[in-house]
Order: sequence, then C-alpha cells, then structure tokens
Amino acid sequence: MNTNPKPTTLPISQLGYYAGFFTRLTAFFVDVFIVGASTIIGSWFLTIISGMLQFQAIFSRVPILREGYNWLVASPLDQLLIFVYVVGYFVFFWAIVGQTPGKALLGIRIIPVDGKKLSVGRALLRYIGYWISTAGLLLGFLWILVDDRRQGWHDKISGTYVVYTWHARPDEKFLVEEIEQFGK
Amino acid sequence: MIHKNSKDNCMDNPPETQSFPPEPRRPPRHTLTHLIVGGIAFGLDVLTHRLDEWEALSDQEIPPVQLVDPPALSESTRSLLVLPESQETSTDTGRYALVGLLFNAQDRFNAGLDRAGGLARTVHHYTSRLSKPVTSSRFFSPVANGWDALVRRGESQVSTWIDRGRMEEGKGISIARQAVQGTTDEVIDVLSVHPGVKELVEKQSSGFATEIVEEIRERTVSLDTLFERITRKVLRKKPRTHFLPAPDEVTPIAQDVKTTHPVERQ
Repeated sequence: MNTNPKPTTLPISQLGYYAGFFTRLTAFFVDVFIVGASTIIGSWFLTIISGMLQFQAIFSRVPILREGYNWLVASPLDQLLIFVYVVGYFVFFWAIVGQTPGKALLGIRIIPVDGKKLSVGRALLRYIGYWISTAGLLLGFLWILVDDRRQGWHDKISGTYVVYTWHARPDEKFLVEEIEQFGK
Repeated sequence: MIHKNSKDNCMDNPPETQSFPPEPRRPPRHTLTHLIVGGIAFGLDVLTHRLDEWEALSDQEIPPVQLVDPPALSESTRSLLVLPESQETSTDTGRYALVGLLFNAQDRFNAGLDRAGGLARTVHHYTSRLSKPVTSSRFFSPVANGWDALVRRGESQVSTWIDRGRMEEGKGISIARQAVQGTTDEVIDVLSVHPGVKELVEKQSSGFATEIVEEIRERTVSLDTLFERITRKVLRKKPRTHFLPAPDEVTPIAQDVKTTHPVERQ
C-alpha cells in the first residue's frame, strides 16, 4: 500500500482526493433532513393507523392487555425505536452502499484505509466515533479542516477516508483565484 | 312483401306508440362556407398583422440598401450596409433584376389602378354634364324611370348582400377561430402523450436536475478550500499548496462511480 502518495498542487479534478469539510457537513445536513422527515412522517402514519384500528379501545377491555398497553406507552420505546432507526440508517448505508443518500448527492464516499469493503462492525464504530467527535466540543469534526487527509476523529477511530467520487473541482473563477494565490 | 309486413306492423301498434323514423340529419349547409370565408378573413388578418410587424422589424434592422449605389461604396461601408457580396455572378444579377422587376411591377400596377380610377371619375363627370339635356328631357323620362327603378333594385340587393356578408363573415371568423383553437388544443394533447415528446421532456428535466446537483457540488468543493484557507489563516499556518490524493487502493473504488463531465486528472 502506498502510504505516502506524492502531493500535488490543486488538481483540476479531485476524483479520489479526500473530501473537504463543507461538502461533508452539507451531506450530513441532507441526511439529518432525510432521517428527521422520515421519522416524523413515519410516526404520524403509525398514529393514524393505530387510531383507525382502535388499539386503545380494544386493549382497554382486557385488563392484562390494558396494563401492557399503558406500560408500552409510558416506556421510552418510541425513543429507542427512533435511536435504532437513526443508527440503522447510517450503518446500513455506510456498510451496504458505502455512502448515505446525502453523501451520494454531494458525490462523496466512505472507503476503509485498506480499500476493502466497510464492515458493519466498522460502520458501527464510525457511528460511535460521531459521538466522540461531538463530545469533544465538535472538535472531532473540525479536525477535518486541519488534517492532511481530511479525516475527522470518527474517521481515524474507524480507519476510513471520505473521498470524492466525481471529478470535483471548484468553480472556474474560484480556481483561478486559488492558482494565482499559489503562484505568489 | 315488405309493404305487407309494414302494414301489419302498423295495424298491430296503437297510433300513440308509433315510432316515427328519425329525422334525417341536416347537412351543415353553410358550415364549410363559413369556415372557408372565416378562415380567409381570419388568416388574412393574422398574416397582415404579422407582415406589418416583420416589415417594421426589418426596417429597424436593415438600412435602405436599395437606395445606395453599390460600386460607389468602400468595403467597410458595404459591410455596414449589409449589401450583397461584391463578387456577383451573372445569375445573381439576373435574379436581383427579376426581384426588382417584380416589386416595380407591383408599384406600377397600384399606380395604374389609381390613375384608372381617376380617369373614370373624370369621364363620368364630363359625360354626365354633356348627356344631362338628353336624360332630363320629357321624351327620355320613361326610360329614366325604368333605369332608376333598376338601379334602386340593384342597390337594395347589394345592401342585402352587404348585411348578410357582414353577419356571415363574423360567424365565419368565429368558427375559424374555434377551429384553430380546437386544433391547437388537440395537437398539444397529442404531443403531451406522444412517447417521443415525453422522452424529450424527461431528458431535459433530468439534465436540469443534474445541472443543479453539479452546481451544488461545485459550490461545496469551492467552500471546502475556502474554509480550510480561513482556518489555516486563523491558526497562523501556511495555506495548503499541495493536496494529498487518497492511496492507490482507494482511488479505483472512488472511480467506480460514473461522472457526467470526465476531466483529465493531473
């Protein structure tokens, strides 16, 4: 494995180069939007269905079922379900597809440092890494800005890179400004 | 035989329940005429309006080249006035002559018509003065009365035609307008369900969506670099002049995804 690839000046196409902070942040927001919207729509749909099927009325007639129903309503099961859904969303897409819908939209992909497929375990580890990055006053995410390989703490913990899967390039005007800057 | 049967049937049925044969459908006697007259009037109106617009536009855009003598102009002036190319063949010259002749003939024809009208008015003026003693004489009065009655009848007939024509033309224009509108709607309906047109619209829509995504990606990539520059400035670090590509093992996986604008990688 070529651990020390030769650095290049700002390339015209950044396909296969490490993805930057803002692209990743935008992709994350897209995913948060998708998860949030689907959770709200899903819970609303379940409420409508349970209302139509008169669960409460049916269960209230049988004492044992009524107690069970009340316990279910009082328990944090819904929160647990939402948590599982959120974890499942990220882990599923990272492990199976290699990119969440948000990352796919922004044209970036998670790739393990060994170039193999990301396992479910490693995907879970990456999700835990999210919490660690958040716990450190979001410093784990901001680390992407200063790291040579644009890795956050969660990337370093799970041994992954995030790279562009398209011929990424800044817009023409911006590119010219950058090249002039480097020329000085 | 048939007659007998029909007679029997008539006798079996009570008179109040007799079913009369349906009235023969009247052919739309004047509809086609309405459509033709209205179509011509409506079409001419639209055509005239368009022609006026185009004429006005061309007058604004092109200077009056026909008033300028081409050989007397310099090359730069010629190009400014949008004159025909300097190297004309004899065929071109002949064609221009024919076109010029056509327009001149039209002008002369119009002028001739005006002149003929004027001449007819003059002739009528003098002949009526000359013939007045004869036509107003007592001997000529029976003939004059007959003539006047004929003229009155003719005028009355013409005024009936004018009234009818006015009414029918209005009706015809209305029918022609409805026909145009209906045909346009039908064409739009056909186009909206035509697979080829649908495919074209879908392609354009997907192209538009791809363009938006590309635009968003380009902006975020620009901001990636900008954010890093700002951060490095804040941290008093040198701006990044070299970028690390991902290891060789990683790049092929990233390249699996097809992109719309392939660019040579440095």
